[in-house]
Amino acid sequence: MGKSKPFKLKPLIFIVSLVFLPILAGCWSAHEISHLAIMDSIGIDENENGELEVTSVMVKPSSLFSGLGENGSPNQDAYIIQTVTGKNMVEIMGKLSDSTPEKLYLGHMDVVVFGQKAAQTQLKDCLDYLTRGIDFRPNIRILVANGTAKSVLSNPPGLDLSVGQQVQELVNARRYSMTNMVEDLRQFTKKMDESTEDPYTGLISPISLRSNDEKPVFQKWSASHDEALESDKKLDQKSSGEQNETNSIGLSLEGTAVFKGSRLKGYLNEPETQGLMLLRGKLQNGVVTLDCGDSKKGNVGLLITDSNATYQPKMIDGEPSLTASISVEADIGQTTCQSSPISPLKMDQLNQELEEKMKSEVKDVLNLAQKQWQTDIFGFGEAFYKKDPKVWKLLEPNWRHGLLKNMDVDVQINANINRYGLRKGTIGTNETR
Amino acid sequence: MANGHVKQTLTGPLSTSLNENVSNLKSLFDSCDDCLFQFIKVRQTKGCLVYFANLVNTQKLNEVETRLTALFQDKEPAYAATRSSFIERHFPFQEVQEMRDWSNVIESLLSGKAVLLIDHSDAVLYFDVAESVGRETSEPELERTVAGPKEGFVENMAINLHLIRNKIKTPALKVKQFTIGTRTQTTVTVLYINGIADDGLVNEIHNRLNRIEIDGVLDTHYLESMISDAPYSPFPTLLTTDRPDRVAASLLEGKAAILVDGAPSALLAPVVFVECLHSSEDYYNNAIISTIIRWVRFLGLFVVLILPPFYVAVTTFHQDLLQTPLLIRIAANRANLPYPALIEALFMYLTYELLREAGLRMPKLFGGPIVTILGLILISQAAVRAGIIGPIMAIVVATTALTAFILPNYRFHQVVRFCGIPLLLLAGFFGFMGILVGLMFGLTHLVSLRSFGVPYFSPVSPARKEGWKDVFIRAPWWAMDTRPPGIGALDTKRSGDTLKPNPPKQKEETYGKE
Repeated sequence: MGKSKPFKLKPLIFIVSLVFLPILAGCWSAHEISHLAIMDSIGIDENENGELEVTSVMVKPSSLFSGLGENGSPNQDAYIIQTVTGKNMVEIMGKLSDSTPEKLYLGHMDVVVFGQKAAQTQLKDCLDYLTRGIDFRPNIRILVANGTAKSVLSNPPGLDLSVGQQVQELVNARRYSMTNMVEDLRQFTKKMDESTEDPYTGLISPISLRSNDEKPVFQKWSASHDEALESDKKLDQKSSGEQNETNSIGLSLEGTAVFKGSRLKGYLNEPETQGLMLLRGKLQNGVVTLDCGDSKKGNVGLLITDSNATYQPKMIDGEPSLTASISVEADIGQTTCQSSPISPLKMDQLNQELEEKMKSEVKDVLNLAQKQWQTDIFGFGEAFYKKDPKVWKLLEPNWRHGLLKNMDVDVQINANINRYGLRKGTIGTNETR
Repeated sequence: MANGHVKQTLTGPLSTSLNENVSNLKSLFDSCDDCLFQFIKVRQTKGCLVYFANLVNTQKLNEVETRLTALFQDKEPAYAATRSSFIERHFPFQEVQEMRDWSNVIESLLSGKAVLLIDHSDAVLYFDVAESVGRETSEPELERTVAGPKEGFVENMAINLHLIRNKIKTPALKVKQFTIGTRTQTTVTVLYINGIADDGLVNEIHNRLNRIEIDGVLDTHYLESMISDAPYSPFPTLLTTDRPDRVAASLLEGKAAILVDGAPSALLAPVVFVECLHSSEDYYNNAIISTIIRWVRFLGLFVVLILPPFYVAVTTFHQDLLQTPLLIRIAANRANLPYPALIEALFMYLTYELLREAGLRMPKLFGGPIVTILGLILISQAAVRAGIIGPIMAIVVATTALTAFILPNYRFHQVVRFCGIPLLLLAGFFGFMGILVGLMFGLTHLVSLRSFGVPYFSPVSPARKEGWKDVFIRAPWWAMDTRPPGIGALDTKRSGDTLKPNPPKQKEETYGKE
């Protein structure tokens, strides 16, 4: 029988300390999901004193789903909307954090909305903060508000969980949306950093869902207009008035905000936006209405299914010129033409008509952005750079000072209507009864 | 013996005096009231029949007595009965033998044989009249299958051997017997197929078994823990199975099996990791179906290991990985909960383990497993309602607990279930980094293990491609023409080359013409 040895403590201490050391470390980077103040979106405005005014929307998840058992829909007052002013974003975030009991969590922010004024003056500095901050994701959507950002964010979301989600969905649900030119933080800053392209992004504004009468008219605005400030004020009043009737307010993507460098230059309306998308080959969803041609009555509703664009930059006698070849594919969605059923001839006609229409839209946007504002939202500079970086070196200094404005852009459009659906004629064509 | 101690044992040859022999035995079996000494008269000589009343079959014993009485009408002196020639003449079926050594006599007595001592003879006769007890062969409890044989091992070694011999009818199936346990004298047999199993493996098993000195062996695990390669590893380096068909299949692959008398299971060696995820049923099903089921099992293994740690890590460290709506959902579910996710998970784990253990020990009358599952559901429901744990945590732990049963091997199932807890702690302290480091350590440990010289992770690492047909997939039987590599099978060829079914190309007319 072996004598039992006295128990040795040393290995035991070693094991125990191995187990407890990690616990003592305190899990410093741990943040329980329920102790996060989830920031959904922020809006950046500039107030009268030239200070930044940031409106932040935080989600209160617990109250969002508190009434879920009974009616199944999220609770409406589940958001904390706070407006803080300050000199810069860091200061503002500090203030915001001071007034929030939980950790500010920015990792899931969906959208940043710039008010019109802030987009003109403060955009660059704010983007510096957003791209520098470690929490922000590079795929936050940047949007410009037709008015103040506050008026956009103060709307309770209709169908979605939060305003940010609602905007995301607006951007993502592309069917029948022809104004989708929203860029995210990465794309936007990339274009801002490079000289070959100018940034643009979606324009958002609050609308009334209840009736069309109250819908604020699209404010055709551009920085070159003198009455800019005045219209801005008008919008402000209008939107602050609308803030009260909470249930009828929705959001709408209405057009495109065009920048020159980091400064907001103006807005494009829907047809112009469509022209821009065509030029960039981005038009994947769109609706075009054409006349029947031979008879006055009726029209043809076309769904744009795809588009493609290529630029062929050329240097002619030291002068830049460019050919944009665009191909468009479309389906017939609806036709109310009284005439004969769709025939190859008819299709050719429609194609031609579509091409004409598209061409005029493209010309319009070129007129506005290229000739008037001298911004290169089309990426023409990029095309020159890609063809020959050395040539671009020569063009670059004068690009936005005359070269772009005077450049001849030849637009060639090739439309192709592929399908007419399950029926050839219109419904009830046989009128002999 | 001195100091009133009962005599421990008797050694050496017997004496020729009946009285001395009987008194020796009587003092040995002092206070063993079930040991009976029945004096009989065999012709002119005195004799004594010794047996344990409860170990013998009374009917058989009566037969022996009748027969003896009939036999000894003979003219020969009674002690001549203890000669081999006599036995051969009158007891042709080996139920009787002669012995001259005390240790043999005692062993025979204790294993239920009746011993006849005869005066003037230093040899005894013993009659095999042992009563066989134990349950009938029944369905295997631990490894159930839908298809395949339904017979399982029982506690009786003779029946177990019978079951295996029934399946493999070749003289190459060798059965080597050992007696281990100084007090229990348990019979242990090593089975292998000569010509397939590696001699080195067989010798190694023999050596390891011979080394064992223990007073009792009551189950296979006694041996398993003493002959396994990695004594500190929780992972089984010998496979326990209660299916004779699995033993037979393993023997055919070149493995060896160890059977222990009194244990309703067998040990298989060597074993590789993937086998713990294989079920016998895989081989009785369609290859494609089996392959898919295998993948489900691999998935189940990962779910059991990392689902709760994953959830804890995501909610404590990596909220960025969630989608926004899901984040808000989870945040809403976890709002106002008093404890961090890690504590919740540990609480649920503990609750489940308590319930499971209680369910196992619960008398069958109360319905064991059902009570466990119901209890788990009810308690998590109540805990969620009471605001102690979040509903998603209840889902996660319940899913994990039930998924654990996907693992076909019970020993392995136990190990994997508890591996989740260190991973959970690591996840709670360090997030995904902790899980990854934990899994890395686990994998390193597994890869470093060996089972009787075979790397535990083979044939995945070291990679032996010819073995993969039974690892990631279960190849159809016509494709499994070689035995798994790495085990050291001497004869690797398992079947012919042209086993793939190849029906004739001609159409029905061909058959019609016959």
